[in-house]
Amino acid sequence: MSEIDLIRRARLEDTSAYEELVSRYYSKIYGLIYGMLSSREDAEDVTQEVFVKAWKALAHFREQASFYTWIYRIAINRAINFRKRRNRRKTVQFEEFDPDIKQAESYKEFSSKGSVLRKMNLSEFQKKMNDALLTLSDKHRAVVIMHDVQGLSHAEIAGIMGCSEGTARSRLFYARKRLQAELAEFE
Amino acid sequence: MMKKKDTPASGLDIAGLLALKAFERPGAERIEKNIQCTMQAVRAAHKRPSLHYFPDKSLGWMFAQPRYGIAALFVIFLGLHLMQRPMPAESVGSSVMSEPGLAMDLSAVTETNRAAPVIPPLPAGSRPAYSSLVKPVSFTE
Repeated sequence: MSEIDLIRRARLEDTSAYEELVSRYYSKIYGLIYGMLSSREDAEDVTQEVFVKAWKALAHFREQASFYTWIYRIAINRAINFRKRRNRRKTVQFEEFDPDIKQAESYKEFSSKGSVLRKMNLSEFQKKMNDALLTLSDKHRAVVIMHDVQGLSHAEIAGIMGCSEGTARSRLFYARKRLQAELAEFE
Repeated sequence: MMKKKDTPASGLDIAGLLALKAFERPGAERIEKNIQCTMQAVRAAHKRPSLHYFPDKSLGWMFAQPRYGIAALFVIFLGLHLMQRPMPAESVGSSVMSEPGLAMDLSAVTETNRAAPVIPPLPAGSRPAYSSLVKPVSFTE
């Protein structure tokens, strides 16, 4: 069934159609929120909030707009609000790396002789990377997660963030520069 | 025109390192469990609609079809107006007063065509307190 049909059925309060939409988008929304919060428990809670909020607000969704743009926008706003209203947990639990990581080209490159992952283990790298990400502002972190982790284009990011493509590019440039400074010890 | 570069000039490949973060993800079983938990929360919210979100669902049609929305608003305003200033229950015309509002000697009015004096007469032996500077005069002089 097409996405628009699922949305129309969900608007008529068909929860099974909405469950299909949740299944399609859960991993993407969870990945975005996890990247924003760097905490597994918080990401699970906020992802659930996002889908409940979207269900309740489905009547306001315009069919001309893209569903993923709409739900990504809800997710970013919810993640930002969550960080504002709640301090970070003292002990955060990170997500575990998928075993497939060892097949990835970038992993092979960084674990080669003299490179980053040669100097530290994967969990050490994970902690430093997540800490470095948390030094960025919410908007910069959202852009860098969407582009470099989730592979969204500048145009898609601009649509979600409600800014120009130029702004999305400059935020990405600044965020990478800041991360480079934070992770300088890896060089 | 020169295109602005996305990546800093030199140093660590941040984009490459960030790509590894994509592998920080839950397993399929946990995703499935989380989806079920999310749908439980959705169904609970569906059964128990919050007043805060009430307009979201019930007034969706109003935003989808603005002309009906405007008509509904007109009816609501008319209703509010009538609540404040209700229409008279009886038809407009002569009305019969059940209790007289002002005591009046009707016989005096009908016989003489003049209303009875409202000011009571002064008691005998008393004088009005005129100022000594004012000389009482008769208006008929």
